[in-house]
Parts: sequence; C-alpha cells; structure tokens
Amino acid sequence: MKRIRYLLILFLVALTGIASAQDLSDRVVEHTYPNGLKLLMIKRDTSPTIAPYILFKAGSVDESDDTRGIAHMLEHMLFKGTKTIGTKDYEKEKVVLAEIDRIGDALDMERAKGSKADADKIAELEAALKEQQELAKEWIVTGEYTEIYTQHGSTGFNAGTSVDYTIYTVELPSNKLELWAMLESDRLKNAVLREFYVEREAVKEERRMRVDTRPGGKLYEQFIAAAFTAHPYGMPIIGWPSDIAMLNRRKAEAFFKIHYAPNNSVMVIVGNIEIDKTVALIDKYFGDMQSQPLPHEVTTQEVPQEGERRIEVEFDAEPQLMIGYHKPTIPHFDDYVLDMISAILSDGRTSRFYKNIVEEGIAVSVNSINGYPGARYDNLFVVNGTPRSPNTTLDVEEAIYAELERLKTEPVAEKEFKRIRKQIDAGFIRNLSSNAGMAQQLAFYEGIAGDWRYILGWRENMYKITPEDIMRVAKTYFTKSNRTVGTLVKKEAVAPAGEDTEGNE
Amino acid sequence: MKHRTSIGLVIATLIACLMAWGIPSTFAKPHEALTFEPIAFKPPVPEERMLSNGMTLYLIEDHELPLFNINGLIKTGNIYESKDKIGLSSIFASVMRTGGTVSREPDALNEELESMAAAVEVGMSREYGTVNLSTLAEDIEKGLEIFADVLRNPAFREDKLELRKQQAVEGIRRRNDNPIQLAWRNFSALLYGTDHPFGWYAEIEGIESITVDDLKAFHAKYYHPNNMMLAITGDFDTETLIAQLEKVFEGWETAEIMFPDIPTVDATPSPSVNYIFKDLNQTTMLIGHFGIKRTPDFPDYFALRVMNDILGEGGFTSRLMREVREKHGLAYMVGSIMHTSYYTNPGEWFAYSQTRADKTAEAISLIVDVVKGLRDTPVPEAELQRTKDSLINSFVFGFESSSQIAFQQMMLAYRGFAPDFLETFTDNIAKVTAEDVQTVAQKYLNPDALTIVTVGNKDSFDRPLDEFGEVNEIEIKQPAPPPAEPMPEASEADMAKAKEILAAAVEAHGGLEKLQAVKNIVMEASASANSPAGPMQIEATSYYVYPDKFRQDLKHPQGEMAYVFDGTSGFVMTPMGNQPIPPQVANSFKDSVFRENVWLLANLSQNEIPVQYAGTEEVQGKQAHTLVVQQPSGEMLKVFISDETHYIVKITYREINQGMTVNRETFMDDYRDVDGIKVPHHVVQNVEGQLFSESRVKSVTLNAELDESLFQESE
Repeated sequence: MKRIRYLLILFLVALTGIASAQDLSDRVVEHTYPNGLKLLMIKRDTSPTIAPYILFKAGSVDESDDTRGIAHMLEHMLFKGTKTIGTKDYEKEKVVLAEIDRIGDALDMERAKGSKADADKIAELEAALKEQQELAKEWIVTGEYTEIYTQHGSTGFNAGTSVDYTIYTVELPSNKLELWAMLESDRLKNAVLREFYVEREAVKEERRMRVDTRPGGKLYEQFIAAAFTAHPYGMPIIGWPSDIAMLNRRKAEAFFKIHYAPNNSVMVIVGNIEIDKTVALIDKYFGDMQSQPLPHEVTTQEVPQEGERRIEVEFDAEPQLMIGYHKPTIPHFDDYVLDMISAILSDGRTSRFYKNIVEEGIAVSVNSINGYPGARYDNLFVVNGTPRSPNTTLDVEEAIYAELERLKTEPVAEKEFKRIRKQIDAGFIRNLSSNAGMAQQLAFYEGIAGDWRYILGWRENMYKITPEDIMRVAKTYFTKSNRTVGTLVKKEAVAPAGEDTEGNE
Repeated sequence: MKHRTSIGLVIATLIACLMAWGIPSTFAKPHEALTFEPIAFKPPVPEERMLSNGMTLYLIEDHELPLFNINGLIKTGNIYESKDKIGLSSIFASVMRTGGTVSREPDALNEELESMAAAVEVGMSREYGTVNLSTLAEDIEKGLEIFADVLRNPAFREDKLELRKQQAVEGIRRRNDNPIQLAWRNFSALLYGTDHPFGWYAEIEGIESITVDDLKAFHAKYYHPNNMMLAITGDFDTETLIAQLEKVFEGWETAEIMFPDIPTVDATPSPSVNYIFKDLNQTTMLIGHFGIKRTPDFPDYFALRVMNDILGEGGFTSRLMREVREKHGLAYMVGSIMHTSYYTNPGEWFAYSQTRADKTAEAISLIVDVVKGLRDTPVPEAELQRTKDSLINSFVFGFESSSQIAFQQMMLAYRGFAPDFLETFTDNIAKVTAEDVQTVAQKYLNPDALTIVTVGNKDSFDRPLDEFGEVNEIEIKQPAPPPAEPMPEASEADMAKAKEILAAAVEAHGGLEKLQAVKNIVMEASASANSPAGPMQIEATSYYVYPDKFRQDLKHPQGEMAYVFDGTSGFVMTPMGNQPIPPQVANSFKDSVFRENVWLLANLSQNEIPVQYAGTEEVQGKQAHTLVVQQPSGEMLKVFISDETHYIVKITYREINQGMTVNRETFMDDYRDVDGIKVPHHVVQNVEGQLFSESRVKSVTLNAELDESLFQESE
C-alpha cells in the first residue's frame, strides 16, 4: 500500500549485496530502442512469474519552488486510469474535469491568501467544486486501473518516488506480460489525472502519517533541510504542507510531459520470459513513443559547509539522533571507500557500532548509511542512533565520534576486509534469487549510475580498497565542520502549570 | 525413517477473464481483447522426511544458485509465557543467539558465522518459535554444526541477558512514541483483558525479574527434536544432508513436552469506545473485535478469504481503500486484517485508518458503514468474480522460490490445515458465491459490538466520539520503574535509638551549630573511574548549595562536561551544546544533595525527617549502626555510622535512571577537619557490587561565594 518508498532502503540493499558478478554479467540482456528506451532483461525460469519495472529519472530534485511535491503527486495520479480505463465516457468526462480544474484553481488561490482570504468566497467555491465532483462521478469508474491488475493476479503493484527517480513496480504471472505492456504504455500515452483533489487529500494524510505523527519522520525532514542549504536534496520529497495545497492537474501534466520520456527511462523485466518475443512486444507497445530533449540536470551545487550545524526537534517521543557528513556521490572512488566504512561500522554483530556501542548498552541501535538522500548528486554519509536511557543522545554522539576517530588513525585489519568481501560475494548470489530485487537494482543503477554495470565495477572497487584509503577518507570527510547533527528532544506532555508532583518534600 | 512424498500440485491460471465483470461501457477497453496462454506449472514438491530423533523435515533440492537455507519452526510461542514474566519468550529467543553456546563465546560465534557470510537467527512469535540458517553451499557442513550447537547448547550468558533486558526496558520506555503501536497495544488489551496472553504487554518489573535460569528452563521445556520442523532448501544432496543432520543431532533425544494450558477466551463481545490523548493532527483508529478460532476443518475459510479481500485485505481494490481513500481522501493507510488462530485464541479482527483529526468521526462512520454493507447486501457478481480471479491468478506467487514452497508446506502442517489444502485451494475459491460471502460477513463481523480505539487530540475532532458509545478515556503514563521499597515498620524504640545515633554522629562531624551554618560546600577531587572504555582519570569539582542546588564539573581525557541542577530542572553541558535532563535524572540530583554528609546530618536533625534504626553491620571490618531514611525521590537511603568514630562510613541507595535501577554503595574514610567540620577525603563508590570509582578530595571550601549564574543555562 505504500506508494512512496523513501529512498534509503532501496539504496542500502543495493549496496550491501548484489548478484554473483560473473553470473550477472552473463545473464543480463540489453536492448535499446530507436526512441531511446532502454530495456534490460534477465531470463529466470524458476516459476511462471515476471517482475516488470519502469524507472523514470524524475524525482523531487527535478521540481521547482512552485511545483514542490509534484513528482510524488504525479506518481499517485498515474493510478487513476487513462482515456479508456477509469471512465465510462472520456469525451463527456473531460468537460467536467476542466471545470473542476477551473474552480479548484480559484479555490487554491483564495485559500492561499491565508488570513486575508474571503471566507464566503471559499465556501461558495467549495460548494461549486463539490457539485462538479458529483457530476464527474457519473463518468468516473474509481479504481478501475488497479482493479485490472489485481484481477489478473498482480502482486507488489505499487510505485515509489525518491529525490532522484520514480519507479513503477509489479509482479505478474508470466502469461500477463502483454497485458502489462498494454496497460503501462496506455498510461504513459493516455493518462488522465482524474480525481486530483481527492487524491491530494490522501497525500496530505500521507504527509501527516510519515512526518507529523512519526518522531523519526519529523527529525529526518528537519535534519536534511539543515544539511542542504542550496541543493534541492534538502527539500522533502512529499513537499511542505503549503506546497501540497497548491498542486494541481496542470502542474502534474507539465511535469509528466517533460520527464516521462522513453529516453529518460529504464525498463527492466526479470523472470520467465522469451527474450526475443519480449523485445518485439515492448517495441509494439512503446516503440511509437517519441524521444524528446532531456530536461536539465540540477546545476545548483551545495556550497562547502563551513561549520557544524546542530538542530533540535521537539516531539512527544523519546530521543533519537542523526549525524550527516557531506561527501561526493558515485562513481567517485571515495564513495566506494565510504561503502566499505559503512560495512565496517554497522553490518552485522561483528561491526564496530554493534560491538562498541550497542553491546556496551549506550544505544539500542546505531546504523550508518552511505548515500543519503539520493545518488544523482553529492550526498551525505549518515549515522542514526537511538540511545538507551540513561544514556543521552550526547553520549551516543560521543561514542559514534570515538569510532569515526579510530578509522582515521588505526589501519583496518585484513580480517575485517576479508569478512566484508566474502559478504559482498555472497550478497551477489543471494540477490539473484528474487525477480523483484534484481529488477529494482538493475533499474536503479542503469537509471541513476547511467549503467547497470556499475554493480560489477562496485565489487572490483570494493576489493581494491586499502587500509590507507580508509584512513584518508575518514580524515577528509568526518570532520566537525562538515557535519550536521539533528536530535529529537522529548517534549513533555502538557502538565498543570507550576506543579511539581515529583518530590515529596 | 519416514519417507513420504505428497501428490504434485499443478497451478493453472484462468485462461481468460472475459466474463461479465467489466463496467458497462460505450468504449472498448483495449485490454479486453487480449487472450492469455494458460499456465500449467508444476512447482517442486517438498519431500517429507523424519529424522531418527523425531524431527520432521521438508526438503527441496534446488541447484540454481550455490545457496543453502533452513527455516525451522518450534512449537512454543509468546502464548506460553507466565503473567509475572511477560516478555520472557522474546528475550529468550534473542539471548539464545546472542549469548553464544557452551563452547562458543558470543564474539567467536558472530565472527565464525559472519566470516563465512552465514547467519543463524532465532525468533519468537505469538504461536511459534523460529530458527534459521543461511549459508553458501560450500559451507553447509560447518553451518549445520553451528546451527545444531545453537539449538542444543545455548549458554544464555548473563551479560547478554542483562543487555537484552536493558533493551527491552528501553523498548517499553519508547512504546508510546508511535501512535499505531500505542493503539494496537490498547486494542488487544481491551479485547483480551489481563487473563490471557494476547492481552498482555511487558512491563519493566517483569522484565527485570527474568533470570538465566528462566531462559534455561524455557529451552529445556520446548527445544526438543520431536517438537521441531525444518524446511530445507538449496544446493544439497538429500541423502548426504540427512546423514549430516543425523550426525549433528546425534544424542539429542526425543522428550515428552507438557504444554501449559492457555486460558480460554470468553468471546462475548464487550463493545467500547476508547480515546487516548496524543497531541497529533491525525487520528489513528482501530475498529474491530475478536477474530476467529480456526479448527483444522474450517469450511468457512475460503468464503472468509474472499470476504476479507473485498473488505480491506485486498490492497488498492478493497472497499475500505476505495471508499475511505480513493473516493473520500480520508486516509493514506486504510484497510482491515482478520487474524485466525489455531490455538484456543480467536485472534483479532480490525479495520484501521489514519485520518486528519477534523474528520475522525466521519472516517469511523464510513468504515462502520462499509462493514455493515457487506452484511446487508450481497456482493455484486462483478466484484465477487474480480476478487476470486485475483486470488486464483496470484496463487502462483506462493511458489516463486523453493524456500517459500517448503516453508509454506511446513507452516500449513504446523497450523493443522488439511493435507490437500493447496491442491484444492483454487477450486474452493472458485466455488464461493455471493451468498457465502454475505453469510460469513453476518457470522463473523459484528458492527454492533465494536471495540474502537482512537489515538489523537479530541479538541480537533469533527464530532464528539460519544455518538459511537460512552467514551472511555485511557490515560497513558510514561512507564515507571518498580516502586521504591516502603520504609520498614519501626518501633518507638527503633526511632529513639536512631535519634541517639544521629546525635552522636552530629557531634562527631562538628556539632549541630557548625553544620547548620554551612550554606554550601565546594569540593575538588581526582577520581579514577571504570568506564566502558577502560579506566579513566577524572578531575571533578562539585558544588552543593543547600537545600537543593547541585553542579558537577568533570574534566576527562575526552573533554569537559558539567551537570547542572537548579533545584527544579537541569541540563548537561558539553562542548557540543547543552541538553536538558529528564525529570527522573533531576530526581536523582535532588537525592545527591540530600545525602551529602553535612546537609544530611543538619537536615535530619532539624527538620523532623523520620529516621529508623535498622541494626548493626560490619563495614570494612568494623562495627557500624545502620540508619534508614527516605530521600526526596522516595528511594531509601541507608546510612552506616561507625560505632567507634561516629563518622558516616558508608551509604547505600538505589538510583533509578530512566527505567533501570542501579544499586550504589559509597565508602568514606580519611576524615579531615575543614573549619571545624569533619569531611571525608577518600571516597570509593561501587555500582552493583563492582568498583566504579575511587576519589581523593583535594580541597574543600565551606560557604564559598558562588555566582547564581553557575546554575543557569547560558548561550
């Protein structure tokens, strides 16, 4: 049910285990169509199922100030059907949809005036909008697009938006490949973003659920906003509440048109397929889409951080901690070294964080993630910690810094490298055992690193890393002035004023 | 050795879905013209074997990748915990793995497994325990040996139990942070009450009482080969593997297991509307009642499966999702879950939603209407067909990997499903009628007897909740550590004796007049402390301003810090900034001023604080009288006064730091004269019986001129 997957986990999985290198390079089949669409395939016949995924290199980082949240909103809207699905008669429906847009725009503009807004006018427009929405119901078939997938046995039918990209996922019985090609190409060519304002309410609920009611979500949002002052990586994927309130169909359609081009996407199909037939089938349904000029990459660069940044978030919850260091993204060699450092610090029960902080009872958990919040642009190395009382976030912070300092001065033992390399290789094999997992990884690396073979090079680079590399990289990035520290501080529940009920004096 | 292979299962998908499920349309839907090649898939069938010790195996050889996996089930679970040690079984499972084995220290075990990229994990659920092994095929033999060692010879080392208990306490402290967790805990507690394990949740006191012996007893009771099943898949040869298993489990005997009775549940509905305050802009709601106690033969299973999919388990296309989210925009997350249980528990059924506060009542009404709709009106044929097609067509996803297939087979056996359950599944689903769905909806859903739990802020609700019934407001308190021991009963004679000893101590320390004249005391000391990182030298300056201000400045190799407490609140100062201290820590600061020698003697003498005499005890080989007094936090303080010198030679007390209790002992000697008052210059502190620190006092100043800003937070 989660339409948006917040980045991180996807990358983490990708970086800690990838299919057997040799095996993988033999099994991936590539095809590029004249319109620029890239198709990657792995034939895997263990069960009559397929995992077809499409990734668009269009994430929240590609938004502008007046469209913040639109990448994610559009992702939701692409489940609302097409000119033939989700409607009883699109020609009649579209007249009403246009009217809904007109009233909705006027309503948004009026509401945006805040305290100067005309309450009567708002009430009037709300009533008018409601009336048109009722009229539209005569033509709309709510949920039909998803129902077709469900009826045909789909599982994992979903989509996710990150800062960098948007991905559409599903698994189907393998005899439904053509159905998938038809439905997906239909929504790319003929999407109708109907029921926009109702879905916008659902997105507001999503924001409340992910951010307003979750201590970790709230801390994360403020932390990342503090870490990035110039680059859009600091903005929330879902948008600020006032951004969401101003999203509309026009903005979503414009974003759709610019970014959802065949030459801005990667398609991956893993599972029980015939390669040649699949290539032809995709051509039949997607071949007539036009390639188009690619949108600009983000040119704003984060300015070098010149001093530690510390933020606090007060919330009715126990304390948590996030620390982030700016560093270069893939394929900079130091990014590989930081992947290795992350493994040394937090992979498994032999890791340093686990042994020296968790097992010492200072924190209940400490984890590191390299590559936050995305990978298209320079990003962060992040450490999360949850203190165990009576230890405070400061105690955990100190313990984390002690481990980071150790990396600067003590060469990592060969034994540690050896263990991690073995795990990398085992991860390669284990990852091949899931169609969906492979589809996700290939799409990600082809789309974001520009070539799925990054996965193979990653292993080679991880093998090259020396103890000196680790010390050099730790000294370069793990500095006080380069870090942002966010702590969640307990906001005490409102108690009767002036009473101290604790003591007995 | 038992040897059985069940009949093969063939999964067929529907050939085409051109039946009349579509919505009347004047425009052709492009996909309706598609036809689909039928799939006839014969998934591998697990081979069922039994080891000579009674352990049941489900095996599938799968040579696609050089991997090896075991997923094991043990018949046990959270349901077999006792009420005074709730949380025991989960802690047991963690420590069975983290505590190492008799021959393998925990670090060695972790190193051995991770250096071969293998994993052994132990888990616990409500109605079963799990144990898993994952290795590369090249390491099967070593992996099996470790797997068997963890199963048979766990050592449950004390320090790992302590750590896990501390983590459990931290979990309890954090259990109100997340509204879903908060709602769920209260929902199941409301349904099951306090007499059934499904209604229980752990508290600090129960966790603290768990001992190594408890874990050993739990292991001895349930972990026997005849009480286990293993699903084994991967790149192995069956006969070789069986021989290897026989070898690693050699001598592990079958045992008779006496399962405790689980209380039967009175499933009479007791509807209630409950409200828990949390200042959030979105309300988390759970709406439901008991689920179903499933019998092995349970003919309603298939109609229920269809009904639950239509109601709220079918993802985007279920009615709750369509109505509450897609049509009304009242939630992002909305749906329902029905638990069925094989044991004596009916499980739970509930609908859930997270909805903006000012639409709370509207969302509840909508959800209740959707539930009623399933009872009142037969499901339209198109919706029924769509749901059945979905279940039949997606059935193949239960057979995507050999480990999934073997595990599923084992789980069905564990939960007592009919042997032909999978073979007949799609046929049974296909047979379900709209009438069947309505019948089970009427039988198992009871919208007139709902338990409703809401977490949010009612000041922002659209309507008061009492339209759904009388509202029961549940107050949530931050979990508290076990209460302080009460002051023992004391006789008049004991009170009088205490006064006499106190008076002698006051005289010995300088006399009441001199003691009373002291308004503050500043001490500088050098201490060597045992920190987790090893011995550490600390320079400390302590300021006590009577009756309740306290500050301690610490210099240690890693830097400087200070604890500051102004009598009501306080903060910790570090180079990285200040952080407020929680109320519980503030309490322990109040206690530290209270028990400072000079103030303690003056305060007890002049303020009529009850002091009791509790006999004599030897301290450092010399006779001492014990006095007992209550500190501001409520915790007892024992003060030991030398029979010879009448100095305070030792104090003991319990300190509570956010949930965990710590027992401390402080020994004092080398008393020296400071302006006519005797002050100890050598102080040794033990924590939980272990040496924690030893300090030498370098200087003592009485009635120092102190600036108020010492106790204020400055930027």
